Amino acid sequence: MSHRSGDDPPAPEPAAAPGPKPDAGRRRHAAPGPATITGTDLLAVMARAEHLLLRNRVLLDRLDAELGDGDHGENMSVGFGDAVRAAAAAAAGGDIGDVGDLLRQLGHLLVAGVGGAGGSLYGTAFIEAGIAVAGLPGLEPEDTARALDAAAEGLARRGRCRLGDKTIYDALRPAADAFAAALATGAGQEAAVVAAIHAARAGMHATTPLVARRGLALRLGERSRGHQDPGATSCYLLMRSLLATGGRR
Amino acid sequence: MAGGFGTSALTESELRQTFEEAQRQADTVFAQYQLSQLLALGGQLPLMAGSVIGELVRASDAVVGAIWLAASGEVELRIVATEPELGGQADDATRWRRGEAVRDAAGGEDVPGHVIPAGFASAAVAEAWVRRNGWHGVSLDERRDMGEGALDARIVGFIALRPADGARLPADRIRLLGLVRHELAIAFRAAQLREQLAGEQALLAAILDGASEGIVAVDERRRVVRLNRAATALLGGRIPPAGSTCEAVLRCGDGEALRCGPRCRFEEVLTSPSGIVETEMHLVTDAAGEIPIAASFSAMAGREGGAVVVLRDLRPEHAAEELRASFLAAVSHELRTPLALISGYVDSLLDLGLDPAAQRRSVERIGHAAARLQSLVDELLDLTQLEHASLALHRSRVDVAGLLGSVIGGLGEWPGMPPVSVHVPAGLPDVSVDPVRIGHVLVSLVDNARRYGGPGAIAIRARRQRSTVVITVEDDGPGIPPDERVLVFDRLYRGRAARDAHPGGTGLGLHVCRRLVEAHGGRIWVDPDHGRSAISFSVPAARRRPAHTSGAV
Repeated sequence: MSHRSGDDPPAPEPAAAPGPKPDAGRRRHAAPGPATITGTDLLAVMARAEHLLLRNRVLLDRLDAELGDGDHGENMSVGFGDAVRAAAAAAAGGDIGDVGDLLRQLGHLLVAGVGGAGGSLYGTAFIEAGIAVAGLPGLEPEDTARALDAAAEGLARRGRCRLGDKTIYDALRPAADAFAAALATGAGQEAAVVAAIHAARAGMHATTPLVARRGLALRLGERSRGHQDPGATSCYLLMRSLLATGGRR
Repeated sequence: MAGGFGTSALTESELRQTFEEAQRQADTVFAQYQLSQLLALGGQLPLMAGSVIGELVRASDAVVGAIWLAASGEVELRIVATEPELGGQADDATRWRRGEAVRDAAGGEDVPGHVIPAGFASAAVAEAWVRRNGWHGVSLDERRDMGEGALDARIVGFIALRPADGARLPADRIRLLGLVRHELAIAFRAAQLREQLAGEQALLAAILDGASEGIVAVDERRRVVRLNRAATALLGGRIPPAGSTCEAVLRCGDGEALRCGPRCRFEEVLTSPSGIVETEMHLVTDAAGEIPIAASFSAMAGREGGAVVVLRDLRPEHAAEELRASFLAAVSHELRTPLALISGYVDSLLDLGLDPAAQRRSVERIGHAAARLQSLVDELLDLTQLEHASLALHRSRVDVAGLLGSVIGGLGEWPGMPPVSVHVPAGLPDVSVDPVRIGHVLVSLVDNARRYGGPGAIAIRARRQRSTVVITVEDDGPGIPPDERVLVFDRLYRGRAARDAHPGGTGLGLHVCRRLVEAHGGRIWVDPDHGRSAISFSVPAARRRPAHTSGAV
């Protein structure tokens, strides 16, 4: 990642290549619709997420160095990579019948494997999402909406954060709301994901002028103003990794 | 399987309860983690305290919190942080305020507990206040193992949280405060010590850099860890790269032998840490070559070890010493020569039946020798007076031609005195001087010309220069080399040629002249060489008499 100059808001680099094509032939339960996100799809999303985090690792570390302890990029890319591989290994050879279970597994792996506060917060979000969609073989659009909402709520509770605190939540909550709003206007999974990504990006940029009220940036007080939140940035990247799947119809 | 221990299925509500408990525990662990991250980063005490109380208020569902810290061991506690973020209710910000001197009860119309005391006399007073006003607080005490099982509990501060009006802090939030109190105490204590250390380091740096002696500190492996400004100056401004050893910095290991002795003194004090070694050594510098140094080596106490050397430049001391010795040698030589003459003539007067003419010659020579002694003693007395700045001038308006005339008149009887001519232009203003003192300067300069000049005539010229009168004494001697023209006026300095040709002389004469002229507000200098040797001095011209002024205009 090259360093930019001036005051341009940092924008993460897009994925250079799409992730591996998910194998649709593994679904067994019921008959998922074309827009359904299966467990296999989720593993592909996670692989893409790791790829995006790796590509933006330096950016995340630099943003974190301005506000916290400078290791968010490293923590996230390493932790997500380990979690994805462990989850994939567990699923290898068998079917992933329960998406909620996979999400919770991933959540526990993230809590254990991602360093810093990010592990607890993202882990909690995944676990809460998993509880919200427990027992489902795949996520229909309304399931995704519930999962996103539960993730945002769980993260807010664990982190005791509200909108405007300059945290992950500032990207995640608008994304979940935008997804639900898109569905309400009749959009499909892909269009809703696109709406969520736009909302996450706007939320990420909106953290720049804020004064941090949670986490390590708390100690900076007013001086935290003018820096984009690294957590909101990694959250935007995770929303981006949903895109290839959301595009499959 | 119903009822079997360990195999009974949990009911839905039991499951939910277990789940919620797990959630709360996870929340507490996460809050604890967030706090330790903040503490691990350290930082300045007020910022650290502010972020910690902010985090605690949010994590505990409180609406306001405060930390009081013990100020440098005093019992008095001081408030450092409060009101970080009041549950999103902007109005709350005005409901709690910092009290200025609230000790026992909030006064006036303040709602109890809404004025936060600026300090408490003790942790017990703080606890009483907290209980009375519906806050929840704990003292921050640092428990330290003092060895053999003895624990030292030291109050570092007090922390208190206020739940929303009418509410209580949830049990697990109270537990959180209990979990972190020792960690907080240690972190705040560490921050206080860090600030204290920084202050002491700044003080030490000021002391070190203000010292006129060079100070070099080394670690236990004799790597230089500190050099003060005077040491850097002694070493010619060289700042050694980090990790340099003392040999590289002091250059004592260069060449064939250690210049500070057969054994490194740092090594000596490092191996016997009680010792202090005083020694003289030489320091090799870029600018001044080898310079003599008095060095005092001492070991530093402490686990890491290390040593310090204080370096005093001995050059000024040596120069003063040398000057004093040469002065004494010169003075005693000057005193001894006329004394020997006097006693010799006295002996011959006593022992021999001299004819009256020879007797007269002997007495005359005794008189000359006594006069030389007299003038030498006068010079020494003048110098003593001048050195103590107790020279009183009795200025008056003096006519230059008259002054010069009387001085020359007194010189007539000096042996070996060449002819002296005086040149005073018409219209030269009078001068404002002490005639005795300036007379002395003139006699010294003429005597100087007589001693070191040639056999030709001595000329004294006066001229006006702006508001001064410059008097020049010329002779046909070899003159003073350019590099000595300033030095000859220094105390005890004697020109090379003078030293070689005339072993007598104290080097006092011209120095006394300079001090006397400067006491008058004038200047004395050696004129550039124009084939004759000349020394000039200036004295202030007297103001014109009013009558003359009106006539001239």
